[in-house]
Amino acid sequence: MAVVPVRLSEDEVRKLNMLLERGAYRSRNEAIRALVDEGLLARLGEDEDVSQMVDRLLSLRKKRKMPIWFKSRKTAAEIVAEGRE
Amino acid sequence: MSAYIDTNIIVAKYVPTDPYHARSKAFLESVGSKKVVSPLTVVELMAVTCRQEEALQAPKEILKEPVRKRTRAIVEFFLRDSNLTLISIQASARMKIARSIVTVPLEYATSLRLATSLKLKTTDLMHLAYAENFRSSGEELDSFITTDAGILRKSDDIQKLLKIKAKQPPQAT
Repeated sequence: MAVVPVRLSEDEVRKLNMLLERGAYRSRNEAIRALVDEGLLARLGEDEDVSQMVDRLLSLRKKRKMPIWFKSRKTAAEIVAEGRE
Repeated sequence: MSAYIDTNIIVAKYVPTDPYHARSKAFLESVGSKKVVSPLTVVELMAVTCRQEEALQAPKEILKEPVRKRTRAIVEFFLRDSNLTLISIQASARMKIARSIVTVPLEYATSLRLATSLKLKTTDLMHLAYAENFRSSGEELDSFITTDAGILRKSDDIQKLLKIKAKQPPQAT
């Protein structure tokens, strides 16, 4: 784990202490890490979640396989045009 | 020079039976011209992938994922697999309609302007508006690559109005 020095205002420390008193976290360290996790998830959202899947699909493509395709009797223009009607 | 890529070209790359499959695949994988798409393309790709769920062929590990997550991953794969550049111009226009003055994304104002001249479907107009706005914002965009018969029929009008050539992908060699 990396150590990241962060300055917090007195008000922020007071609110962190409130969370500890409520038993939400065992330490300020644990609380800050959990809150950073929540913030990162909210900001990165699904981008973070799908990156592994996208990398997997791209690695299959590098092996000259087409990992995604549509088995359709319609043409691409027809498929797209259906949504434009 | 850049080319705006219509959604049907991207989809054709993943429909092996499509008459334009080989041409679209070869063009999208060619180096040279920059290939750009808009947020509207992303929405259409999401919608197509969801609508074509029964036709979708994908590895089991992808198919077992929740639809929303899987669809997003597939659309991102489509864009990255063809090295497409997603462009979004942050610009708006003020319009007075039905006694209300409203601020709308610039693409809506451009589409309104194009609607009477081109008489195309709403989404077609919006794609052309994105292409026009990319070009007028400084992107050296000179072509709109599509297999849509309605847009191709208006190629001369589009060239006159927007200075953008609507055309099919070149023949694969």
